[in-house]
Amino acid sequence: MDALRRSGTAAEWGADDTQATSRSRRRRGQVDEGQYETPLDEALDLQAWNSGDLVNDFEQWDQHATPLEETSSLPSPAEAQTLPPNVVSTLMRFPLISKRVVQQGGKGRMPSWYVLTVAGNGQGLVGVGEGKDTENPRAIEKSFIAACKDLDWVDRFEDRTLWNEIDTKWGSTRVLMRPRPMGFGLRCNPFIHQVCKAAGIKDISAKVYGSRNGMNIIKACLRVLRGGHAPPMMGDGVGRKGTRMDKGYGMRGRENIERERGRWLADNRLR
Amino acid sequence: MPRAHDISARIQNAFRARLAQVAVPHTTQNLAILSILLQSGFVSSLTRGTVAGPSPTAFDTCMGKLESKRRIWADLKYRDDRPVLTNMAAISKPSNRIYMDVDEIKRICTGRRAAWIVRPLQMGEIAVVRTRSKENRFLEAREAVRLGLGGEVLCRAR
Repeated sequence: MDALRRSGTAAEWGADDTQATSRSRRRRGQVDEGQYETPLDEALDLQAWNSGDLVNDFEQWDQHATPLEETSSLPSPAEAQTLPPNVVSTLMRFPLISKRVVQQGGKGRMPSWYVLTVAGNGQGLVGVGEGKDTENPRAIEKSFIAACKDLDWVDRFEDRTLWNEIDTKWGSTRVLMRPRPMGFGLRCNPFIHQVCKAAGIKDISAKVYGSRNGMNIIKACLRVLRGGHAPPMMGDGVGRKGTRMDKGYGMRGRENIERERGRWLADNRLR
Repeated sequence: MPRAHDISARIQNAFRARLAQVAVPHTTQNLAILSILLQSGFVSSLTRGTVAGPSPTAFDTCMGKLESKRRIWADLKYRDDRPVLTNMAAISKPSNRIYMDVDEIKRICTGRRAAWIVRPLQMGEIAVVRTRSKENRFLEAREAVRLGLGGEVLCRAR
């Protein structure tokens, strides 16, 4: 375990190579109080510790139980542990776009890799993240961490499809999505296919008009699929400006509409 | 005279501007459309009034004077800082009047296109139909299907 933490990807990202600690260790005086930046980091570390999945009999992180990708995707408890390890390992991750980009500086060309990843649990949570690094695998990990931070809820009809037709535009990319009956499948652009798969949407038909740039398709879909819950055009409420991804109202389900109107919606199915 | 452009624009723009109330000219058709919006839950109350403000007494004293000064005031609804009504548009235009019978209205209520250009009603969307029946002149689309009446489809709201 020490060798992995010292020499692996986590160490290169500046991870601390001390072992995860427990309250018992603190009581024994083997760890100082200022190790965790916030109480949340401490709570997450303790939760992972107490889950018992990743520790061996000697109260140490079990090297063989922890998959390599998992340690490398959580470089340090304070920085990247946005979710507990047992949740992260169940998420779908699709690195859909990988580009080699170049910054032309005074000293010449500085190439790096840009990766866009869509993460989701297949049950209504989906997020997108971007990451850049000089090495492709590390860029993929960074984008996955950003996607985990961006996870948000998608309200689905019968847990499988949309509530209504969606027509949205992101720049020159116009995306049109329609709900479809059970068993129809995802008959759509490949990027939309992966986004819906991560979100847990199983039946739609879709068409992309105008530009078919992958990044813009993914961002257009995510902006409109997630209805959101914060007041629009207000940023994050504590000083940050509103972002392009927060524009519009997104898709809201039947319960939301019934609540805001104070009326039941009639069931229109043909009988 | 069936023209739903004015009321559609006034209500939609008032919601987008986050106004508390909106005044529309006092006509039978406007009153009927606003009543259907009230029944569907888009507005919270209707009051007769004048240009100055909602006031039933002022509305009555206006009688005999200019009809153009009378208004219907509607209280608009918002939840979580979002307007309850986001889009309202006319369907039947003077350049292209849209008349639908019961089967066609049923089509737009059940997710299919009708009359070539009328898109189906989405979840939570309503449409106002003006029929020839004396008792039920203005109906919501699904009420018209239930009563078996067709007519001119004036506007849609969601």
